[in-house]
Parts: sequence; C-alpha cells; structure tokens
Amino acid sequence: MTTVAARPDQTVTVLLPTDIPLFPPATRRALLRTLLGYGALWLCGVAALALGASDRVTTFALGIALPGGGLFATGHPAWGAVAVLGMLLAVFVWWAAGPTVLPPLAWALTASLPLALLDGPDPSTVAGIAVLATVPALVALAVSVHAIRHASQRRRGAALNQRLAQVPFAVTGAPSYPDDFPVVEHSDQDLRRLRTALDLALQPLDAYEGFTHIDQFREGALRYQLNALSYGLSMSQFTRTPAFRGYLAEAQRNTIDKMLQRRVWGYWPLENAWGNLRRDKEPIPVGQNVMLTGFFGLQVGMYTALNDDRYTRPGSLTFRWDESTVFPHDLPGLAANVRASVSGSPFSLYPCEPNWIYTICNTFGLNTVLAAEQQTPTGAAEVVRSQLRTAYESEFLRPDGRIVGVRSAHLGLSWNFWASPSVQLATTYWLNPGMPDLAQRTWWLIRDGWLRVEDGRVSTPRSVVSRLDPGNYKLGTDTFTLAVTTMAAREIGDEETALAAEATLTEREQVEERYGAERVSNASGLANSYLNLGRFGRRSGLRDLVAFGPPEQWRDGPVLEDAAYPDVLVARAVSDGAALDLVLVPGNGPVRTTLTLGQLRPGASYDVRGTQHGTVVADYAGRAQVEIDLGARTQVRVMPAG
Amino acid sequence: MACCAVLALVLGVLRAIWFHLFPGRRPAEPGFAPPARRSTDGAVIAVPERAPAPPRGTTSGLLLGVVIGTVAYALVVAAIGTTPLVRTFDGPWLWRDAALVALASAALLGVFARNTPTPRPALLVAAGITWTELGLVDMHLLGLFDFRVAALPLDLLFHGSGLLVVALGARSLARTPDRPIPRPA
Repeated sequence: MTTVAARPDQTVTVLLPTDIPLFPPATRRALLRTLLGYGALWLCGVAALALGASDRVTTFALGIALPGGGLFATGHPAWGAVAVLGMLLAVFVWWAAGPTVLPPLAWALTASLPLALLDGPDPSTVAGIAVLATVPALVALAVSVHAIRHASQRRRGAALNQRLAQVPFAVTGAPSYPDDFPVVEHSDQDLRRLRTALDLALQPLDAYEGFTHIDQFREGALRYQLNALSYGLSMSQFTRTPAFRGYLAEAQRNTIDKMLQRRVWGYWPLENAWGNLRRDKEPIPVGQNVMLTGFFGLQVGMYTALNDDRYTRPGSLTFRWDESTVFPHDLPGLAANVRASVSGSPFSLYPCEPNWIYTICNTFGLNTVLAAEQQTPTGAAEVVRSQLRTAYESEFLRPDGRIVGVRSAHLGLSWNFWASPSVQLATTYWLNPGMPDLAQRTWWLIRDGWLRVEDGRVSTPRSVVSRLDPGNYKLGTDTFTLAVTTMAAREIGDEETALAAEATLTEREQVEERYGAERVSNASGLANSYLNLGRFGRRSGLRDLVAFGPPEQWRDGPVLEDAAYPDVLVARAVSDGAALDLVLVPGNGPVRTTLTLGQLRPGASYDVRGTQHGTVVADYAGRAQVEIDLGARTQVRVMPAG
Repeated sequence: MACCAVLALVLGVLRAIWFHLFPGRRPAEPGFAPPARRSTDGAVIAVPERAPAPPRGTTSGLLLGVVIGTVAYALVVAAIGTTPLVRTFDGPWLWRDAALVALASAALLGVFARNTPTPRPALLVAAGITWTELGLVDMHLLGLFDFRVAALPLDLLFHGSGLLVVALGARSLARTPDRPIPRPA
C-alpha cells in the first residue's frame, strides 16, 4: 500500500506550446543538411542524363540518385524493387544497432549492381527522368502530409489547451521531514517479490542466472535488466526500509559492479566502431551512449542517495575491457558527461545508439545530473534542465502534446509511430523528477484518450505495441505496459489507476513461487523488475529520491547494518535521527539470529525493545550487536537510553 | 526500458515467426536465481551448486546446420541462376534436386527426433560445410553451372563463404566451455 503524503502542492496550469514550428530550428538545420547532401547525389543523376554520359555512368548515377534507380531505368523493375528492399533493410539495421556505414554501403552497392549484373546497361531517358523525379516527389509529398498533419495537430492542441486551462495540476515541491517521507511496511507479497530481486542481485558477480540472454543491443540487454533490478531495490529501500543497509545495499552494489563488466557494456565499442567510425572503446563518451550513462548514472545516484558516497570517489566506477584497458569513472563524472553532452548537442538531447536520439533515454541523463547534484551541488542541474526543457517543448513535441520518441541526429528525421502512447507512458514516470509539470500534462493526455479505467480495472488499447514485453520481445501480453502504468500512475499520484493496474495484473497473471520468492511467470525479468518499481513506489517517490534526496535524519540516524538473509526479512526500517524502528519477519522459519546496528553514537547506551537485550552500548565505531528470537513478525525499537 | 518499442516489436515478430517454425528452439524463460544466503555479518555462507548444464545437443546442432545449409544453398543457387551472373548447363538437375530434398528431410527428421538445445557453433560448422560441399559437387563434379563473369573471384567467394562460416563456428566451438564455470566461494 502506498501512503499519499499531505504536502502542500504547487498548483499550476500547463498548456501546450502554441508556437511549435513545422520544423523546429535544430531539426530544420539537420533536414536542410540532409537535403543538400542528397541534392548533390541527385545532381549527379541529372548531370549524367542531361550531358549524355555513357550508359554505364548514367546507370550508376541514376542508382546514386535513387536506390535501385539504375535497375529501374534499365528495365529491371524486379531487381530494382529488391534493391529498394535491401536499402530499407540496411536502414532498419542502422536503426536497430547503429551501423552508420550500412545505408551508404547498401546504396553504393545497389548503384553498382547493374554494372556487375548487366553486360550492356541501356538506361532509357524516360525511365531515367522518372527515377530522378521520384525522390523530389516523395519529399514534396512527405512535407505536404507533415504540414497537413501539423495543422491538424495545432487545431487539436488549441482545443486541448482550452481544456488544459481549466485543469489545475498539483506539482509536489521540496518534501519536508517527516510528513513527506512516509515509510510503510512491506506486505508478505511485497517481501516475496523483493526476495526474487534480492536473489537475482546477490548472485556472485560472474553469475547471471535468472537473467534473459538474447542480445546486448536492444531492450533485452543485460544492462537494462540490471538497471531495472537496481531501481526496484532502491525504491523499496526508500519507501520501506531507508534505515536498512546490509544485504539490500549489497544487492544494489552488485548490480552496479556487474554494469562495469565487459559482457554488459562491451556492445559499445562495436556500436561506436560501426556507428561513429571510431575505434575508441570508452563507454562514457561525450555526446553519445546516454542509454548507458543516463541509466547507469541514475542507478548509482539512487544507491548513493540512500546508502553511502563510495561511488563519488574518483575511479570508483571503473569499466574494465582487459587487464590493460580500463576506463575509470565516478558519479560526478557521469553527471559532468551528461552536462557536456547536452551543451554540445544541437538538439540538447543526445543519442543513445549512434545517431538516434530517444527522448526517454535523455530523461535518465537529467535524472543522473539531479541525483549527482545532491552530493555535490554545482547549480549545473538547472542549466541542463532548462536546455532539455526547451528541447522537450519544441524539437521533440508535437502541437497536440505527443512526445516525439526518436529523431535521427544526422538526418533530422523522425517517425510518426514514435509518438505512440507507450512512449508517453514511460516518459511520464522518468520525467517527473526533473519536469513534474510536463509529466503531469503528459499523464493527463494519456488518461484523456488512451488509458481506460473501469470497474477498478485498466484496459489498454489492443495495439501490438502495448502488447509487447520488450524484456524478452514476446508478443501478446500487456503485462509490461501495465507495469509501466503502475509506475507512472503512482508517481503522478493517480493511485486509483495504479491500484486498478495492479488489480488487473493480480486477477489475470499467473505467479510462480520458489523458496519464498515470487514472480509473474509469463513476464520477462525486466517486466518483473518494473513491476517491483511500481509496487514499491509512491506519489513523487522517484522525484523526492532523485531531485531532493532523503532527509538528514535518515542519513545520519541509527541503521540496521547487517542481518542474515533470508533468515531476517526487513519489512520496515526507519530512523528519526535518534531512534531506530524495525519490523522483521522470518524468511526461513523461526530462528535465533544476530542483528548488527550501525551509526549509533560511539560509547552511548541504547534501550532495545523486541530482542533479548534490554540495553546495548555502541562500540567506538558506533556499532552494536543484538540477538533476537525471530519466530513471527517482530517489532524492534532501538532508542537512546534514558 | 521500452525506449525503442517499435524495434522491439519487430524483433518480437521475427522471434515469434522463428519459434513458430522451430518450437523446440525456444529457450526456457529465465525465472528465479538460486536462493542467496548471507550470514549475520553479511558474509556469503552457502552458495548452491549451479544447475547442471543442459545436454549440449551437438548432433542436433549439426543436423540443423545441414538443414539450414542445404536450404540456403538451394535458394541462393536458384536465385543467382536467374541472373546474367551465372551460366547453367544441362545435367542431372532432377537427381541433384531430389538429393538436396532427401538430405534436408533426413537431417530435419533427425532434428525432430532429438529434443535437445542446438548449440550455435555446431550449427554454423555444419551449415558452412554443407554449403561448401554442395557448391563443389554442383560446380566442379557435376558441372551444373559456373560464373559467367569474374569466374575465379566469384568462385572463391562462393565456396569461401561456407568456409568462413565453418571458421566462425569452429572458433565459437573452441571457446565454449564443456563444463559449468566453477563459482567462487
């Protein structure tokens, strides 16, 4: 269950921008560059035809003007179609894994094909003119369609603005202690779900059992599983057990250490080579790979906010390729990398895969900066936030409020289906720490036309995209969509929708249980981790943790430093700066076990209720051990004596 | 994260088609990790043994490789045979086609008879060998076709591509451990 804190909210009105041009500035520059580049190729075809170049040169030049153009012009439409398909396939692979060289290679190959295949190519002039007219006609058509759609989106945006003007959005401000930091107790089911995550994360560093192994480039990659696993563990700590370190913190550290392994980040040297034509293996390059820097930075930032500052030290995050090739980094360095990348990008947002800018990935970049800012305030977060906000409201927003999910940094192009509601849903959650007003508006738009809540159940449109589990690329289930719905709804404060999404899943999905751990069986590990993140979240939970951080009382007060796992499951652990309150549950039957307390005042006496000890004295390091008979749910309170 | 949902969707469709064609090839969905244990001071106390590795199924991989190599070879030869690049000759095409069908069918039956995972390296080795052998038989034993232009380079490319696949598979095969890696205490 999630408690909704009664903090005073700032009520704001968030209208859609009304001045989004047909082609926003950075996009326009990239498109013009693309058109100029293509224009040069097209002129080769025009020149060859107009100047009466040899048949072979003309055939090749027409192939340069249009993929397969030489084949079409010489009367081989079937082969021309094959060339076009080959070109489309090359573009798809470019999109999927970033090999920038592939489309130009495929284009050059298709242009050369008729010279190799045909003894004496004989292009007809009429067909050549048709070939040359094709791309300009397609460009004109695309611009026209875009202009018509843009006008329609502006009309819809204006209509939405009339309604948005009447909608007060409640944006949470800086939380105040203790009212805005509710700590609730894990339910039995919460603990079973948490155990699944703990078992995954507490494996030896070289073990990856229970993880999906399909590819390291797309959504099924290990890095996304590790990110999501860690986010869920961190959120459970923030809302349930902020005063417990022990195996919960170790589990998060393990996911961070695994991220540094070559098998997890080794995809980047490949992508950098074939996408940017660079041989540099550096996994945290400026202006690239926000899908690692941002996601990983947030993961480290959440751990740091809740536990300790070890990852702020130079070299504490060292990516190792081999014995002699290492890339030392740290949390402030990751944040500095994001700041430099945002400042250096004409779009402000910068690419994940080489060339491909994704709006959602860049929310993680901002969140990394915000989390690092807690440790070392520099004021740079405001600069990054401001730059990204401008881009989110112009280059990457349609006039009807739909976020544009992807754009090619080189070409300036995007795809319409990238404004699908699935993109808006996830963006809502990750945008809330840095731009809560935009997150609120996005959520309102989702609820306005896409997500339906009836009779306490959520129904998502029967589109293929919403019925995809990206963690294992399996079709036919909207479990992942409902997981993200839970996350976003809870974070925004729409608890009704969050509960409805959870109820829908509970009613429909099979769960499997083993050794006291539980998971949704027909869902990927990624989906299960995001289900945890939604389950353990609360209103503005991510925003409070990432943008503001836990209160001092939690950082400095007594903590449960160690406990046996799974003998002791920690259902609640919170400190008020002086005393420590615990709720413990046996995870492996009744047991007599020892708890290690930490961050006590050295040499001070503490009264302990709920264990074998009445009083303990902290050692010079501020630690003490207490023995406990744990047979059922037990409350323990540790407080200064007297 | 579902940052690239449409791409994931395309991959999902391709995987759905593949596993529909080869239902036995669908990998088991990973689920739980082995239960972890920590002592009261946070030390690792007992690490369960890793589950024994599933049967390697090398034979199954080899047989599937033969199927894929044969089918790919037949399709590619049929395709390039329609281009001016290749010159075909009269010969025992019927017998040759029947032999290809028989070879692929027999290997496919063998695959279905074994319900074991197919290691990719073995598959590559078998597919590459099949490709190269069939090409050599067709072109240089039966003399069914040859390359009209750039005969030597294309000949080398045609047969060499199979050998390249064999080399890739053999390299992976050499790297694949036979036994589970022991876990640190």
